[in-house]
Amino acid sequence: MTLIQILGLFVLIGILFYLIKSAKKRVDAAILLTIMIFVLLLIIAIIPQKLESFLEQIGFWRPFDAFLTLLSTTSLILALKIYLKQKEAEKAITKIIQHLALNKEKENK
Amino acid sequence: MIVAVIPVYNEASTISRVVEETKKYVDLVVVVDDGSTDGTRKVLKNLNGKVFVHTHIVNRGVGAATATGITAALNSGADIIVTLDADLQHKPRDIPRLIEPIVRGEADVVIGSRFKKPPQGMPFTKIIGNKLLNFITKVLYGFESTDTQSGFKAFSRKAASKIEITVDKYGFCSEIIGEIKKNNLKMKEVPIDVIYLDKQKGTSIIDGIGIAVDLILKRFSR
Repeated sequence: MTLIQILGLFVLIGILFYLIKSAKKRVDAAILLTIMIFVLLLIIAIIPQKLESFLEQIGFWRPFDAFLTLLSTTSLILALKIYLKQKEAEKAITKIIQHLALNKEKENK
Repeated sequence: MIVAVIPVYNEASTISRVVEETKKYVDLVVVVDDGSTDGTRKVLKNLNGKVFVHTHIVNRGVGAATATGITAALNSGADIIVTLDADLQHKPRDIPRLIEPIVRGEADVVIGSRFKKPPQGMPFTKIIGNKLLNFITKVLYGFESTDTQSGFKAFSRKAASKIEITVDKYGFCSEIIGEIKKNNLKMKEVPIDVIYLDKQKGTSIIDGIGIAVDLILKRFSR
C-alpha cells in the first residue's frame, strides 16, 4: 500500500464517520447516497488493482470509469426523484390555492 | 345555463373587453385571476353584471386556473361550459357556433380549432410547436385532434364533471384530450379565427418542451 493510499484512507474514513454520525440524527436519500459514494471510493482506494481486473472483465477500463458511470446514473435517478417530489408538492399547493379561490369568490351583481 | 370560464394572468388591458363581449353570449362569466400583479385585480373589481371572480393568491398556471373555473361553473349549475383566453385571441361571437354540437347532442366536448383552415398571423414557431404537440398527444393518448393546445373549448356538464385536470400549466390542454379518450366522450372540432395581438405571449419553445415532459410523465404515471 502506497503513502497516498494510506492518506486517502484516513481522509475517507474520517468523512465516513462524520456521515454516519449525521445519518443517526437524520436519515435521508442524500446522506445514504453520499455514504455509498464514499464507501465505493474506500473500496477503490484499498484494492485498486484487484478491482481493476474485475472491472475490465465487465467492460470498464479503470475503477474510476465505473465510479463515474455509477455516480452519473445515480445522480440522474435522484434528479428525477426530486423533480417528481417537487411536482407532488406543487400539486398540493395548487389544491390549497384552488380551495381558497373557490371559497372566497367575489360576486359582482 | 351557459357559463364562460376565463383564466386570466396579467391581462389588465384586455380582460374588461373580453368579459363585456363574452357576457353577450352566455348566462354567466367566471373569471379566475391567477395571481395577477399588473392591476388585473383592480379591473376585475370594477366589472358588473353576471360575473363571478375567483382569485388564486399566487400564480399556479393556466391549467390550474381553468380547473378552478370549471369547478366554479359546475357549482353554479352550468349545463354548458365554454373556456376562452383573456388576451382577446378568441372571438366571443364564435361561442354560439362552438356550443352548437353540444346543444344538438352531437358532442360532449367541442374544440375551437385554429388549424381547421390555414392559420392567419400565427408565428411560424407556434405552428411547428403546435403540430409537434398534436403528434406527441396522438402518440401518447392515441387520440387525434388538429389543435390539442386550443384554449377555446366547450364542454357539456357531463364532460366537465368527468374530465380531471391535474396539469397546472399549458400541458392541461393535451391532458384534456387524454381525458376525452379515457372517458369515451364524443369530441368535435369547429374552425375558429384567432387574433395575435402580442406574439410574445402564450406558449414559448421552453413551455412546449415543458408540456412534452409533463405529458410523458403524466402518461406513464398512471
